[in-house]
This record gives sequence, structure tokens and C-alpha cells, in this order.
Amino acid sequence: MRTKVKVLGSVVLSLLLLGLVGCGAKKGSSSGYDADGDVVGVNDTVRFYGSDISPADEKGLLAKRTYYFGYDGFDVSDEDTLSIYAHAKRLLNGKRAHVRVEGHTDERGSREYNVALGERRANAVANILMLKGVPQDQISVVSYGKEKPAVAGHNESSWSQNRRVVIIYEVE
Amino acid sequence: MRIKMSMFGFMGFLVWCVASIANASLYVEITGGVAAGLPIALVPFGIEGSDSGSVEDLSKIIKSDLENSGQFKALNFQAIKEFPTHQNEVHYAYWQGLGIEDLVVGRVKKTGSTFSVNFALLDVIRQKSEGAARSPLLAMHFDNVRPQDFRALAHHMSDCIFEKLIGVKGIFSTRIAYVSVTEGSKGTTHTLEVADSDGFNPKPLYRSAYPLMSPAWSPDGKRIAFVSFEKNRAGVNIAEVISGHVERLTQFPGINGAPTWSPDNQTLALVLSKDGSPKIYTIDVGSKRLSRLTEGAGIDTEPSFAPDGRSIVFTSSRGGKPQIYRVALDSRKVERLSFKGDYNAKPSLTPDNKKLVMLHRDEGGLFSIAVQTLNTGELKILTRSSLSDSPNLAPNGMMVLYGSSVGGQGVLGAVSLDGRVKIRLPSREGNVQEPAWSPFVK
Repeated sequence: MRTKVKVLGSVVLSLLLLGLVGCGAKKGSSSGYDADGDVVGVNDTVRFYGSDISPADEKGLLAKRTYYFGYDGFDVSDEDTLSIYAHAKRLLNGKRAHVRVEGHTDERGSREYNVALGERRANAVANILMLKGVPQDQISVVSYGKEKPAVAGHNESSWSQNRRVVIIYEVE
Repeated sequence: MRIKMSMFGFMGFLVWCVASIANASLYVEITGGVAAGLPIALVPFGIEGSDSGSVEDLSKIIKSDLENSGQFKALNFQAIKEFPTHQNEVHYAYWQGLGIEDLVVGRVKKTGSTFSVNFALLDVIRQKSEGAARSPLLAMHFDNVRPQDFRALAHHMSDCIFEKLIGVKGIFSTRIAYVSVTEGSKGTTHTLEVADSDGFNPKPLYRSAYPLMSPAWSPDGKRIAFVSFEKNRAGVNIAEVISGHVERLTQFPGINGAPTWSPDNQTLALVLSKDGSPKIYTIDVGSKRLSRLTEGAGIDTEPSFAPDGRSIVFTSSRGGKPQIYRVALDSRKVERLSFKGDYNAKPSLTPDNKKLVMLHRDEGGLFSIAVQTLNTGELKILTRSSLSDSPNLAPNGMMVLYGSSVGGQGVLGAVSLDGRVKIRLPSREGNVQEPAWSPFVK
């Protein structure tokens, strides 16, 4: 449940960001948190994505397929959320398309616990796709934990490149 | 599904057939702590009817076994000036003068194409006080020994000596499984290998272009459960150790991980995330009947059966950070076991059910292998290195194998539970990780 709220939170944030960078999206006036900390008004605001993004911007957003995370972190950044929206749109437009969402961690800690952490990261991304209406059968989630590092080094700069989720099109 | 399974089996068989290709064989390196221990001397065995280079040096293998256990301090071969090969030839005063407490002598005799082997374990200290020649602590005779059996025979003799002098079963005839990772022109190859406990005689059991994880021996030593990711889907498999046949047991959406056997060989505990968060399940290996054991949000993983089979220890993030918990199989009541530090994972209980071995992150952020005494809560750190993982207990509960990293290369380490001896089993090629100690061999 907490993960979900966080994901929704970053959705709202990214929409605020959209408004700030002047893409012309109107910020949903009711979006934000209510007194209990629950996210409200998301459905009003997510609709704005798509209508005002230029084809060039969208191409850039779709080109991005790797999203990085902080140490022990599961939050998707606002920038990454926009890119994931673009992939959601693509999946909704091409019903035969199928993505694999791969979660990874850095090399520290227990192997199977890292598999669980990597899955949490992958689910954070997959949940954004599903929140935008992508059916579950177009998405598969796999976590490799620390078993498939992108970079071989043993320092923070390598670790930060290994804490990642990758969207891979199994069917374009 | 059935077709897929037999294909995996066939691949496993192929792997078994090409056993000699690219083994990441291990060698043993003692990295610290043999100063203390029982002083023992192993006299090079006498050889009749053959030249000394034609057979494995039994006394050398036994010496290395006993030293690796951390319980013995063996005399250097160079320091030995007398070479008895039978108890009747021993001048006890000589060995007493060297401070030796126990002595091993033996003879190898070639008869036809095989050998006969005699050896004796002699009590040097007690000999002094009593004068008359005492009968040996152990005297054994073996016939029809083939040259390829010499290492196994030496490990067997080490087991006998260890049990006689320490009072605990030796683990030198056991085997280890581990995952080796090698880079080649066709990318990364992951191999599940089985080797003698000292790293000799490595044999591949299963090979994949995808990661392999979490090997676990069945308590009868006949099967190894492990995780593979063919076609980027996680699955738990069971490999037959002798035939190399591999079958996929589970392939649910999400995590299929961390398999571990019940003491009766009938049930696997494993981790599935098909219903949400990763949770502990049990599966009957024969009927494949599945039962969910833990509930709630958060991560539950790395189950390991208590020696009596009535509870399971596991890692859980239910309190926010990973800690060790125990769940009773009948009542499903959960209790927390670890309290020191903010990262404890990969637990296993010693055979006497008194101690918990685990991966522990210390205040400095280093991942160490640690042991916690259950009734006092006292935590003892056995190794300090930034990247240790996968602690795995020997069947006699006296040594812990673990994965470590030296100079960026994955190596296996072993440490005695008293922390006294540390050994390393580096690979000659590639990385080795995730060691799993076999049960005692019958």
C-alpha cells in the first residue's frame, strides 16, 4: 500500500512539473494530498499527458528505457514517470506489444533479499504503466537482484548505475 | 509444460556429458588462524611396489584437510626427520620431543592394478606416562583401492581421525555446490557445479546463459534445488546429482526463489510473489501441492528449516529493515530472532538448534558473516569484508562457507564457527559464488 501511495505521489509531482515546464498542461486543481495523506484527483490530471507533448519530445521519452534508484530506494523520479507514461501510451496504442520490466540492485547484501528489492523497483515502474491503463498481460516483471550488474565496479558510481529498472520490448 | 521440463532435463544431461569443458576449479588457500589447534604429525606414507609419483600423497591430503578444519596444527613435512610407516617403527620419544600429541603413519602397497592401504592413528602423549606400547587409537586397512579413489580415501581417513580426536563427525568427504560465472565470446555463462569439499574434482551439473541462484542440497544428498531464469522467467528447478537430470518445479509470475529442503526430503520451502509481496510457501515435491506460510505486506524470503523440521527461520522486512524471524509450521506463529543492527539476512540454524548463522551489516556498513547465540542474543562477527554474502553451514555445524570478493573476483570463503580459522577457495577462472554444503555422505 505504501508503495502505491508513493507511486501516485510521484505521478502528481510529475504533473506539477509538466505544468511548470510550460508544456501547456493544465494542472488538475483538485490534485494533491487530503488530510489522511491519500492522493486525490489523480484521474483528472493524468489525462493531460499525451495531448500536448510534441512528437519529438515523445521520441525522447520513449528512447529512455532505464530508470535509476537511490540506495534502498523505490521512488520513481518525476522525469522518469513522464518517460514511463510515453511507454504506457505506446503499449495502449499497440495492443500486441509486450514489455518485460526488469528490476536490479547493487551488489551489496543478501542475494535473494536483493531479488525482492529489485522486484519492488520493477513493480513501481509496472504499476505506473498499469495506472495508465496498460493491461497486466502486456507486462511481465522479473527481478534479477544483483545477478546482472550493468557496470562491474565496486564503488558508489558503479552501484548507482546498477540500481535500475529496465523496460525491454519483448514484442515491439 | 511437460515438454519444457524434459528439454531442461536433456540440457542438463548434455552439460553432464561435456563435464571437462571450462571448469572453474577451486584451490584452497589458508588465510588465517591455524596457530592454535591440536598438534599432530602426519608421516609421509611408505610406498611399496610403485614409485612415489604414481599415486596421490595421502598424508598431504589428510594434513590439508585437518588444517582446513581449524582444529589441528600439523607439523611441517620438512621438520620430520624420522619416517615410520607402521606403529612398531615409532620412537615415541622423538615425537614427544617435538610436542606432538597424535601421530599418523601408513603404508601403500601396489598389488596388481590396485593398492592396499594401511594406516594408524597413534596417541603420543599417553604413551609417555604408561611406558608399554599402547594399541593405536585407530588402525584401518583398505584393499582394492584404485588410483582414482585415493583422494576420497584420504578424506575418509581424515573424517575418521577428526571424529576420533575431536568427537564430532568430520566433513571432509562431503561435497559443495556453487555457481561459477565465466565470461566468454558468447557472453556470460552461469554453471552450477559440484566439487569435493576442498574444491577438487569440480563437475558441472547445469549451465545457462541466464543467472543461476540459490543451490540447496536435499538432506539425502541426491538432489539440488536451484533457481534459473530461462527466457527471463524465474523458476525453481530440481537437479538429480548423479544423472544430471533437471526438472522445473515452479514457474509462477514474479519471484520463484530461495528453495530449501525439509529434513525429510519431502517438502521444499520457497519464495513466491505471485500473490503480491514475496512470501514463504511450502510445496510438496511429489504432489506439487502448495501452501502459503507467511502473510502480510513486506518482504519475506530466504527460508531455512530448523533441524527438527518444525519451524522455519527467514528474512523479513516486516519491521522496516531486514531481520531474522522464525515461523512455527503448525501454529504459524511468528517471532523475531535478531535485534542487533539494521540488516540481518540469510539465516540458518546450527544442527544443535542453539545458534543462528546470518549475513549481518555492521555499523561501518560492511557485510559480515555473523553468528548469534539464541538464548543469550550475543552476536559474534566471524568475517569482516564489504561484500560477503550467502553464508552456508557445514553439516557438522563447525564451518561456514560464504561468498566473498577479492580484488573484484568472486571467491568462496570458509570460516570456523569459533572464528579461529579462515580459508579461501578462489577460482582459477571466473567468479564463484553461492556455496552450498552437502549433507554427510553415507
